[in-house]
Amino acid sequence: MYLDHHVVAMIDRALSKIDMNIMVLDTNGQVILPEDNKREFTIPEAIRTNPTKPLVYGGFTLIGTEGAQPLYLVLPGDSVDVSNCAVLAAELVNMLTRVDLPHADREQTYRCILREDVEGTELEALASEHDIRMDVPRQVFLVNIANVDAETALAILNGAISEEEDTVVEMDRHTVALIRQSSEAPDMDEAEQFAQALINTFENETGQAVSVGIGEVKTSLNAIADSFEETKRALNVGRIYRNQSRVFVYHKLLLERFLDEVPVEMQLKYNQAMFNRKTARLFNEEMLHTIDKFFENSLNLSETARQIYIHRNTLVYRLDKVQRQIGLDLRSFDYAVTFKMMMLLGKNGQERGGKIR
Amino acid sequence: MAGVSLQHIDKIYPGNVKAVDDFTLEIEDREFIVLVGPSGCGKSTTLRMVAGLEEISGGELRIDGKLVNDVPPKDRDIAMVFQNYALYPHMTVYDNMGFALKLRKFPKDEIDRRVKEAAQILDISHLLSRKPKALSGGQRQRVALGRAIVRDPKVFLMDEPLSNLDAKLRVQMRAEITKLHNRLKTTFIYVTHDQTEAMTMGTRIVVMKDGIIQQVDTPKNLYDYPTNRFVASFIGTPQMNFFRVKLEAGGGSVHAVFGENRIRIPAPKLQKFISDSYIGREVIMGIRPENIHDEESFLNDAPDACIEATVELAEQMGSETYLYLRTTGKDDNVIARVDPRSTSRVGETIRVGFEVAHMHFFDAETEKTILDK
Repeated sequence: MYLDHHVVAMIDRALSKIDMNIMVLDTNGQVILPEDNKREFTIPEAIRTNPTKPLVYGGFTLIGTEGAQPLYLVLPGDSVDVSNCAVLAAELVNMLTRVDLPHADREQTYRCILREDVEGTELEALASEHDIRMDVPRQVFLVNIANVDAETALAILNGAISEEEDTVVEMDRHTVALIRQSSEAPDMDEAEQFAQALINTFENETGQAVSVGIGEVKTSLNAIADSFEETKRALNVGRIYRNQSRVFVYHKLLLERFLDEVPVEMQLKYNQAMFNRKTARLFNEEMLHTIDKFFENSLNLSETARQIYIHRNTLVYRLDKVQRQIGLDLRSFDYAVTFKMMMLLGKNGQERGGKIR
Repeated sequence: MAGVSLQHIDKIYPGNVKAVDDFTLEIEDREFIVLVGPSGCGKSTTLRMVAGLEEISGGELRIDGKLVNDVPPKDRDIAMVFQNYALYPHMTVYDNMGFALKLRKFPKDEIDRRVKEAAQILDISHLLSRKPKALSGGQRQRVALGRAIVRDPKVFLMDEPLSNLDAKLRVQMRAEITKLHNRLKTTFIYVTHDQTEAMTMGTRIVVMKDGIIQQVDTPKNLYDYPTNRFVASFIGTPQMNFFRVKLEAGGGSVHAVFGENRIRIPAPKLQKFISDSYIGREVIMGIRPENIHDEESFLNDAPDACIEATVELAEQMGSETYLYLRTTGKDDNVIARVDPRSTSRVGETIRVGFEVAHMHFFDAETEKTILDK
C-alpha cells in the first residue's frame, strides 16, 4: 500500500496517543514506523491469509489493515486487551489511508494508475476529471531516494520537472515516480541525461547517492503501469548486475534480465566453473578491473591501456595469462561474451540493498 | 576563497578495505591542487570526502579553518563538477545554471545576476536561451562549470571533468579551466588520472597509489625529482626507462652494469652510493627518453655513458622521433626521444648515450630514490 510522508506523519501522531509502542510494517514487512527503524520482517503466513484477524505471535499481537496490499501493525503483548487495541488501531489506520477515488487529487490518481488500482471506465473518468490526456507518449522514471527525506527529495524533483507536462508521485518511503509526458516521442538519450542530472543534483544538494530506473515509453495512459513495473525491474536487476551505475534503463538490461531469470543455484554453478579456488589468484581485483575496462571499451586494447594507465603490452600480458589459465582468449568476441556472462552470473550472490517491490 | 586542511584522513569501507590511508595535506587558499594516480588509487574517494559525499572514517577535514567532518555537503560552501556533465535536457542553459540557486530559494534577481555573470566569465552569454541539445560537447562542459560558478563557492571540486571529451576538446578545455582558476582566484581541487592534465594545470600535484600519497610537489619537481619508482614511471610520456643494474667499483670509478653495458656514474652522485653502501649491490637506474641521445656529437662527448642497441621500431612524431631499442640486460624496449633528423633506421645496431646528470637511482627493494634533490 502507498503511504506518503504526510500520511505516515498522521498515523504516527494518531498511534502515539495509544501509547503502546506500535510498529507499522508495509506489505513486504519493511518497518514504516518508527521511522528510524530500517529493519524488514517476514510476515507470518497466517496473518497474510487473514490480515484483519489479530494473531498472537511470539509475545506480540499482529493485525493487518484492509485492502489488497495491507499494512501490518505489531503490538507488544498477547492479552485480550492488546488484541482489542490492535483492532482499534488497525481501523484508525484504515481511515487514514483510505483513498476516496472520486475525490482523489491528480497525484493520487496517477498513483492509483501506476499501482493498477484503477482501470477501464473508472480510469477514463478520473483522467478526464483531472485533464489527464489518455493517448500521449509518457515515460516513467523511478527514483530510489535512499536515505534522503521525502520533503527534500520532492522539492528537488518538483524543481527539476517541466511543470506543465510532468508529474511527481511519491510511491513509498524510498521511491518516487516521475511521469514525463511529451507531445513527441521522448528521446532515450535525453531520458538518460535527465536521470544523470537528477543524480548529480541529489549528490550536490544532499550528499546522497540516489539511483534511477527508466521504463519504456508508453503511448496510452492505461499502459503507464507497465512502464512503472519496468522501472522497478530495471532498478532491481541493474543494481545486481551493473552495480557501478546508477541509471538503469529497462530496455538496455535485456541480458541482465535474462540472467536474473536463471535459478540462483544454476547461476552459481556456472559462475564457479570459472571463478573458483584454482583461479582465485588469477582473478584478483586488479585483473577483474582490467577485464571490466577491456569490455567497457569494446575490446579495444589501446584505449583500455590508456584508461587504466598501463602499457599496452602489460594489458596483452594480462590477457595472455587469462588465456593460458582458463583457455579463453578475451580478445575474441565469442570468448569475451562467455566470460562476461559467467562474470555476471556471480553478481547475484553479492550483497546489496533491499529489493524494490 | 578558503584553504583546505586534510589531517590523517582515512577511508575504510566495510570488510576493512582501506581506500585512503593517512592522507595529510594542507591546501592553500587559491591553490590549484591536482590529485593524480591510476584507477583505484583513492583520488576520487578523497575528493568525495572533501565534498561530503563519502563519510570520513578517520582524521580531520577543515575548510577555511572550520572542522567539517560532519557538515552536510550543501553547507560546506563547495561546488562539485562531475565527470558526466549531465544537464537537464528540457531546461535552457539559463535554467540549468540557475537551478541550484532556485532550489535554495534565492531571489529571482540574484539568480539572474549570478547566472549572467558566470555566463560572461565563461563566454556563453549568447547561449543562455538554448537547450543542451543545441550545444557542442565543449559548450555543455562550460555550462556545467557555470552551474558551479553561480554558487560562488569557497572551493571548487572537479572529478575528471574532461574525461568525457574528445582529445582535441580536452586540450582546449584544460587551458580554459586554468584561465578560469586565474580569473576566479579560488581554491581548486582537481582529480584526474591523466598525468598531462595534472602537469599542465596544477600549481601542486599529489600523486597517489593504493590510497597513499606518494609525493606532493610542483609539476617540475615531480618530473625532475621523483621520490620513488612509481612517481618516476607515472609522470612523463613515454615513461622513464628502468634498468636493474649492479654498481661495480674499479679503476677509481663506479659503473652501473647491466647485460654487456657499462655506464660510468658521475662523481657528484657517487658519495651517496658509497655512504649508503650501495657499491656492489643491485639498484634500479632510471632515465627519461629525452635524456637518451643518438647524435654523433653527444656520443663523442660521453663515451663512458654509451650502450649498443638495435632499433626495433622508429615512430616519427613530426617534432621528434621515438626509437624503440633492444639491448642486453633489459627485457623490454628502451625508448629514446631523439631529434626528428635522426638517421637511425629500423634493424640497425646503433650507439646511444645517456645524459648521466639526469639519471635516477632507486633502491631495488624499497624502490625509493637513493639520491637527494
